[in-house]
Amino acid sequence: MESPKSADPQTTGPSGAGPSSAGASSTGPTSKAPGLGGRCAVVSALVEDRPDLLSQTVSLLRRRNFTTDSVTVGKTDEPHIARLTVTLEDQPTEAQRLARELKRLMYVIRVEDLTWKPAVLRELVLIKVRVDPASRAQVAQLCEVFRGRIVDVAQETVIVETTGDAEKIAGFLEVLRPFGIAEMARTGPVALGRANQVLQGDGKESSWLQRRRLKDAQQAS
Amino acid sequence: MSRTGAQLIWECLEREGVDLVFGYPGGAILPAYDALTEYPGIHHVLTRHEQGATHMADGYARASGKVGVAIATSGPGATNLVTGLGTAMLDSVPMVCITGQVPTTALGGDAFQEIDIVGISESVTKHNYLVREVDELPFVLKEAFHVARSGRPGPVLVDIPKDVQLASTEEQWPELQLRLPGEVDLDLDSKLLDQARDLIGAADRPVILAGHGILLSGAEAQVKKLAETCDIPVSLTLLGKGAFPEQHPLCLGMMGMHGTAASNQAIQEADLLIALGMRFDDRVTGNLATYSPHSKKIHVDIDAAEIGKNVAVDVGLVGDLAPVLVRLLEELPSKGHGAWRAQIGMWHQDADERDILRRARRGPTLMAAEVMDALWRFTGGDVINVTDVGQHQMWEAQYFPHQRPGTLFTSGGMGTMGYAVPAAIGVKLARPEEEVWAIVGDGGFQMTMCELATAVQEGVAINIAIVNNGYLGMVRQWQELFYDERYNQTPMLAPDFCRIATAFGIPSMRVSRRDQLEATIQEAQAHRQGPVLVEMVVEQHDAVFPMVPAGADLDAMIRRPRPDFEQA
Ligand SMILES: Cc1ncc(C[n+]2csc(CCOP(=O)(O)OP(=O)(O)O)c2C)c(N)n1
Ligand SMILES: [Mg+2]
Repeated sequence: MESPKSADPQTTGPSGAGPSSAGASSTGPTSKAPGLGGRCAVVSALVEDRPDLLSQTVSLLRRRNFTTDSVTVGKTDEPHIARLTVTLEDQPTEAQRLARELKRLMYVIRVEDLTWKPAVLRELVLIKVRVDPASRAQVAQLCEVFRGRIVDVAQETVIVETTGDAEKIAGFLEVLRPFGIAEMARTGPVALGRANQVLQGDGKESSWLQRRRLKDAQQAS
Repeated sequence: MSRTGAQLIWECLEREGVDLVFGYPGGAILPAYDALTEYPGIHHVLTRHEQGATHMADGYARASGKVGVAIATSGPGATNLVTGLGTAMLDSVPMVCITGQVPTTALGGDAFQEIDIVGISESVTKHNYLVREVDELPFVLKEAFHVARSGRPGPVLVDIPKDVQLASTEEQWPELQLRLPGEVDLDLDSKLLDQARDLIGAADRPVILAGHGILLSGAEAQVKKLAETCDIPVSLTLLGKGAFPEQHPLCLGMMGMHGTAASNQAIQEADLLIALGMRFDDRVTGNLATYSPHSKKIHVDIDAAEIGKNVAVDVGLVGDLAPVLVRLLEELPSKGHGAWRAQIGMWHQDADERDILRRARRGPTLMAAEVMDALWRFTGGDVINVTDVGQHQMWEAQYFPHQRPGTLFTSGGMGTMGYAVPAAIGVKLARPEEEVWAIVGDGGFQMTMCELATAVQEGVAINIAIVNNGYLGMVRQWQELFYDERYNQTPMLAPDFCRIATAFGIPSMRVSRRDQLEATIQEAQAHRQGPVLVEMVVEQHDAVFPMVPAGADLDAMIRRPRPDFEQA
């Protein structure tokens, strides 16, 4: 399933000499194929967690004429470093262009095109379902099948939480729809390459990050 | 030692080697202007409009290779920078613009002259900053200059609120190791170099496409060596002019919409294109679907995002051109392309026969092409031209051969009318020993002519040639060819340019006869103390040929009819 064309050395993180990542990816509840299979473009980047990060990213996506499905940013284990995930629905061929454009941004440390790679892609969804005393149990049952959880219970509604890829979420929504979906919220997908693929920095730091680190050191002492 | 943000600004500029800035004061930048008097090492040129400041900084940067600096206040001062930022962005010009901003405490509240210039300029800068704390200033300004000049150069904007300028800090100078994220590591893959050599070795009809990147990288010698070693004709982009001597037998002249017929025909017939520091802009490719259909393509550029952006390439090399070419040339055997050169020679000859200069002398009116030819011949050709945008810009490109680097500056990517006069001021300040001509249309001149006052105040000795055809000529040409000759809003009333010059205290002359060209040009050259203005009154209804209509195939050129087809 992995397209040979997608292996752009410039956008791949250090791959290491470990076992073949495709081989290690056969487990996991939603993975039918070893890679994401190119359904949508999925580009992930390690970025400096700056205040202008989101606005600059969105501005780039707009002016470079991408129709973007989702942009997510979240902190990482390392201080001041965040991970950005951008997906473009139905446009796997745009992934390489997107990766190249993202790399021009001053705060983008490394970019990885996961579109055709073995990777895990997940999204968190909160769904408020209309229930009555009779249907509440049915919804609870469906939650078990779809690995959802009821996280809020009220007189006429419950909030169901689940995570998964686009396909699983679509399936879950399908079966919940007959009950009546009052409202919902999705985070947009985040993704990580499977097994030993690790996206790492290359020691480059902007003045912003260097100043942050200086301040951290001053505060610690 | 305690310093204010305002002082830090100038100190940072001094540390970056800046001794000349262009700007215009106002409330939000006043603390910085007040502190400027303490820094006599920095000369400030007061422009007449912030757009002028950006074009001057741009011209200064292009001609000096240093970072140009423009300064403005918040609100309208800041928005007036946008055209100049866009111009610099699309032509990869290193520039830092500093704007004042309302105090941080007032940000976001629509205070007087508050405008979100960081938001506005996001897409016309390589990067931009809003400085929120005075301690940040040295970090940000150092990085701003680094970003502007590194990799593919470009403009950077730094927005500094008034309270940040007024605040004091004890902060020491940071020891910064600037290796920025976003910067490409330029390690070349030797396999790719081998592939490029193989393609060059196998080609029978190769063409080098020489762009602005050659000049930015200083790779002119390597390009010449590549062309001569492998006997490869060289076609130039507009901004590539000067990258390869135009009177060299291998030079095809300019490519694209108003390029030479030989260039465009050679590109379409080629079996190999070697694109060096150019970006396959639509004005040079025409219809992408039919662009150079038989050729393999090698593309070298410092900006990885350019490789494959418009045209799919067989070998893409990301890197600084000069070192890449040095490596490429290491093991490149020499070659000859006699048949290909002969074919190109025939295209050249056909073009010569159609040339306007061959019959211009018959008509009563002066043709703009003659003006360019005269400027070239009577100045000895060894001057710097700064052109505006329109027909005169294309005629200059066609009839004024540039033999050495850094002798033509023009707004290529954005096509900004009003660029020439202010940019020429910046160019002349960067290279005072050179003779600098601003060549500008009657329309474009009226866009930024207020900067004449700046030139006079600063004693900048530029020669301004207004090519007056009484029209927004390039738009008129499109109306003639594609809008059934409906000349709507293109005939333009102009003031008496010579009296305008007089009002500014500038000597001027007007010429409308070819037998006066030489004397007039020489008279203009004799003025060396300040600006001088020459109005060249030319034929109103001429068009620039050849012309590839927008989106047409590159070799589907509208040609000037051959003289033997013409009615006498
Ligand atoms: C700021 C700006 N506005 C509009 C245009 C569109 N435009 C391109 S060429 C041109 C006509 C220029 O007229 P003139 O300066 O007289 O030069 P000519 O073409 O007559 O030589 C116009 C309006 C532009 N390039 N820049
Ligand atoms: Mg005109």
